[in-house]
Amino acid sequence: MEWQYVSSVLEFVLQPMSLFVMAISVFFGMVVGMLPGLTATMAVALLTGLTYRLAPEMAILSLVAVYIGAISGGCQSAILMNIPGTPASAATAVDGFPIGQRGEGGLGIFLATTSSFFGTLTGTLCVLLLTPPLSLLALKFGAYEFFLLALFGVMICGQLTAGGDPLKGWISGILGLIVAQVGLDGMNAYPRFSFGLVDLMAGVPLIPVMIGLFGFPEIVYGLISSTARAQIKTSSLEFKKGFGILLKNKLNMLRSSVIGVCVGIIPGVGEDVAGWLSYWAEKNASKTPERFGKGAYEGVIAAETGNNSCVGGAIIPVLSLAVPGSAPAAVLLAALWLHGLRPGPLLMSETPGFVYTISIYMTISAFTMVILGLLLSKITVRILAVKSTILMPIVYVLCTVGAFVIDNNIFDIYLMFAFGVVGLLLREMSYPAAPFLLGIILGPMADNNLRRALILSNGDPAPFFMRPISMIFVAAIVLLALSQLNAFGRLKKLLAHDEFKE
Amino acid sequence: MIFDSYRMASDVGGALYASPGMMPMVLAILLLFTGFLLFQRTVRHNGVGQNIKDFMAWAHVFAKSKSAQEMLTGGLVLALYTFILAPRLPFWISTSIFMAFLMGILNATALWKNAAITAAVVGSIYVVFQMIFHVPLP
Repeated sequence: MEWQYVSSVLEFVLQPMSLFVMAISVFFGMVVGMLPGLTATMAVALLTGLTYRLAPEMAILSLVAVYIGAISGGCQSAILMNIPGTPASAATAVDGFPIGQRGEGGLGIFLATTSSFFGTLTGTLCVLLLTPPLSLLALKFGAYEFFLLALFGVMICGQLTAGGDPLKGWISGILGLIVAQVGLDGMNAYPRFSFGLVDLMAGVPLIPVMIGLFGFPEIVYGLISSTARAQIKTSSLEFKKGFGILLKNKLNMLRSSVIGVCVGIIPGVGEDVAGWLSYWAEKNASKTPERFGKGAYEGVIAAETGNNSCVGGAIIPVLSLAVPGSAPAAVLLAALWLHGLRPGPLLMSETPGFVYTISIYMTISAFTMVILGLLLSKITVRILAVKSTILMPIVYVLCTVGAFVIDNNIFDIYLMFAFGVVGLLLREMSYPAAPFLLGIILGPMADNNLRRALILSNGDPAPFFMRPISMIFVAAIVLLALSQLNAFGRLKKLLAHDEFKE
Repeated sequence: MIFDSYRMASDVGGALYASPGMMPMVLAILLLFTGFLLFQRTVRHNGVGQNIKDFMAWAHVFAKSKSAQEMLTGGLVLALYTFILAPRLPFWISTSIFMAFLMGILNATALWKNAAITAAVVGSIYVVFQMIFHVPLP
């Protein structure tokens, strides 16, 4: 049965046109990922609009390819210029840049690209192994659990992406949930917060919002003339030495892959956290941690394996729960909806072959990424020399086209701009944008399930606290909130004070 | 939002928990609570006066910064393109004006290169989207 799905997907992917589209998408992703200021989320959002008119299979292949290309492409600017192309490559720059400065930029790129390849493959394996059981578990979810899952997703995302200030992350998530309430509600078709505008009756469209939220701030910052870049050079790739180093780092790669996948499964957290955690774990496990930060190969390998395996991890909850594991995965989820697919608990029963489809797309994209990454690195890094004052006007035009083509509606361009300003303000005031986006994605799920649950229990909230899976979510949410409001610290102080009194 | 949520419940009828206003009300209360916590924390750490002083100092630096001026000018040109040029003019005219003008005021490159880049970008987008993919452009 499974081979039937695999063979039909392979038949499609190995067609010349599919391979061409995939190669172009991976290359586009690598270039966007490499350019500081343009993120993987923006690459996937931009391409969602641009591939909207393609057949769903081709569009999804293109989006998966661009996602993988963008996450791996960020390492090149990190190693050669100490500027991570995407936040996911920030940990790579710590040791990657000293490697580049030693004159081993080519070796650094080889290690990073092959580690990215390994990370993507292990992530793909986890998609195959973990999506079916997670979907089965999700079938046990009722309205109570889905509401709590949405709430937990926004909270954990706010906590982990806020850079030490979870309150701001949570506020950002709540604002996103509020934006998701705009338009006709899912149960009574009552127009909420649409201010009489017909364009808002169907709600706030996701793609223009995503393009604005993540693309606009980067474009505006890129318009500053002082961000012009210098020409950079790279050395040869040193395959033999590189393979030797990789063989010595088997355990490191395996550990980083597991960390990446686990981080990916957590809603909305994403590749940057996976990269940092993998780097930190390798540094802690190392017998010579003092070498880290000074050009340790292990650091680059850990960070790149971790952030790329997170891609697979982030896709697992997309397929099984319709909850994105990272910001680019959120855009991918929106794109799947746009193309008429219904990821979620019923995916394995309605379209059981889709997990294989995505896995094969990821695997072949990973092969394309490693080939293009190694062959074209000397050419692609030249793009880094293009001044941002030239590049950003071009990117803005593409953003405008991307926002417009989904519905051929000029209002979507206005929305893109408006949410771009929101994204800029969030960034200026140190509020993370990822929880905001996750809030918009999970808003309808939270709204419909909260009301459905309360209707089922005649307004009694008790089942939220009595059902086994709900209890786990409630405990996690309460612990998360209490830990951040310093409740445990206060309790400890109080206990210590009482002991002292006694 | 709390007021509007009540209005929604009374418009639709039935219990509040089943009305379209339920989730907005929950979110409004959560936002009020988290906003209060943030306000309380900020006041406790710095005090109201110090916060106002910090803001004024930031605004002073921002107003005099060359980068901020470039950002604002660029943002204004983006707004002009989005709200005035793109909805009123054909794609190739509006985009040519936007790109040439923006790169020009940012001194991005020489005039002839500016014109060549603008023509190449507009032409490529037009050919790829309008002619190959048959995608309508704004």
